[in-house]
Amino acid sequence: MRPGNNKLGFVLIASLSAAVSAGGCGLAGVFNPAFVNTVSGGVVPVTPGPGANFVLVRVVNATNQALEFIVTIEREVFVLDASGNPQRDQDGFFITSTDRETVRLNTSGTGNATEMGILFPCDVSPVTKVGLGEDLLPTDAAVFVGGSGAAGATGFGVPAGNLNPLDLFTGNFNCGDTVVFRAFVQTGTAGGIGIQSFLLPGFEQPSVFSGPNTFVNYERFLQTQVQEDQ
Amino acid sequence: MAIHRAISSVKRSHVSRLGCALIVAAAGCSAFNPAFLNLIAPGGGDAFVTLPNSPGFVVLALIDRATIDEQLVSYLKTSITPPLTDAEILNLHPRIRMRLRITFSDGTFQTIEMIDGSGRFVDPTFNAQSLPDLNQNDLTNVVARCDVGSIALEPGSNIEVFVPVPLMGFQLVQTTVGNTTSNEFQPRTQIPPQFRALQVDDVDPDGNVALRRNIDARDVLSPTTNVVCGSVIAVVVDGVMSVPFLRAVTDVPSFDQDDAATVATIGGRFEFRVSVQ
Repeated sequence: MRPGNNKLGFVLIASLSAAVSAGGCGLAGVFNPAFVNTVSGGVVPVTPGPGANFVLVRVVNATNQALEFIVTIEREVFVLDASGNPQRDQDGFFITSTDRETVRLNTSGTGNATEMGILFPCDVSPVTKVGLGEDLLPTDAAVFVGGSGAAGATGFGVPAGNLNPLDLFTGNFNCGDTVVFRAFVQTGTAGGIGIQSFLLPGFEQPSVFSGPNTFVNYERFLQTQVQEDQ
Repeated sequence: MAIHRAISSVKRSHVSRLGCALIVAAAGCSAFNPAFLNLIAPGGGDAFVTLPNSPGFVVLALIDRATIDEQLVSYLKTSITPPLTDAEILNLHPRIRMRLRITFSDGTFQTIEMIDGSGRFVDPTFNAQSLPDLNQNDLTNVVARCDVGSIALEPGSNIEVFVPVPLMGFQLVQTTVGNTTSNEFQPRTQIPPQFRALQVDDVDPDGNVALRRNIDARDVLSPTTNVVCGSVIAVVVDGVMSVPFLRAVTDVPSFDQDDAATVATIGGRFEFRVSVQ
């Protein structure tokens, strides 16, 4: 962003601060809750946070054309025996293997449908890598432009390039965080589309919400389903 | 690789941080979202890019709690390679696929295809490669940006269940040789493993069930409208997937194709419940 925008930014902040002061910080009573949540948070969560064991992967399409994001994660899963119990090696450590999951998220070119997301549980089996492309390689198609690729629609894939997968062990993200992949129009690149990754750390959002606690509610709901199954 | 941050960043200058903090403190409120502050006062640094936060999310989930008929499990469990373990058999769920339309309050919509259930439970005599859509997209939840107007089954689409075995269709044929008349089943059709659309029961004008199919009229998927931002919408599937066995003729999954009642129930019996949290 250009440095000149700082002045405008401070004017905006000052105006908003005045509005907040006048309202005794009761933003929700004055402004649209959606706006309040975007600006100050505290209405509904925007990332799973420490209270919910998920990694949220959110894709944002800023290209004005339909895009399919190919999201892949890796996680360490326990190797189970025939009874479903985790196996241990001779030293008593649990044996794990790397499991890869790929999902395709379609986004439209306009409106709220330009964004979509998916939650990956990370309590039992931590998510260790998050990236774009089926094999998390720079040459993989990270996004498919012009429709759903599997359906054979005419379109093309855009490689992930230097958008390497994010790694848990190097501190790129943690359980409770939100990883955002954004595609935008960029001249001089393959397909004319650039891709960025963002991180929204879970610990930075408020812990109390005036609205539904989305991700905690979802986790609790999943737990009740497992209990009913048993 | 540049990983940008959607909230605060260590690359933010201390001066800018202090300035923002003073303004926020002066306003008597510490709840300004750092992402918003960063967006309008990034504090310099070429690599520092932020995104505005979403106003919130709605989680849409598919939870498959349906089970598989024991006859079918027994038929397949030994032939799958490597064999299914007891633990895997206990956790088997039929593979259910549905297309849902999320309509946003701004009029745009997105159609998503959700699939849940066991993808490995397929007759090994059929090449899994011939079923590219079986394991293509394991999407059991999606997170949509607020505001969501409604969530409903995509118009013109069906909820489908994957029937993992070929089905032999037989027809009862009457043969007369001289004075002897005999009835015997002759093979007529074979339906390969494939997704099968689930049908709602036929009812007469009085609401009585005329032909029992896969879903009771009261158990169909109901649309959800006026979705509150931050809520969780879960589609819960219960029921049993089953295929017919014409035991008098063969031990493989099979049916009398003139028996409308049996044909109508191929795939099993399911119910769909929408839970809003």
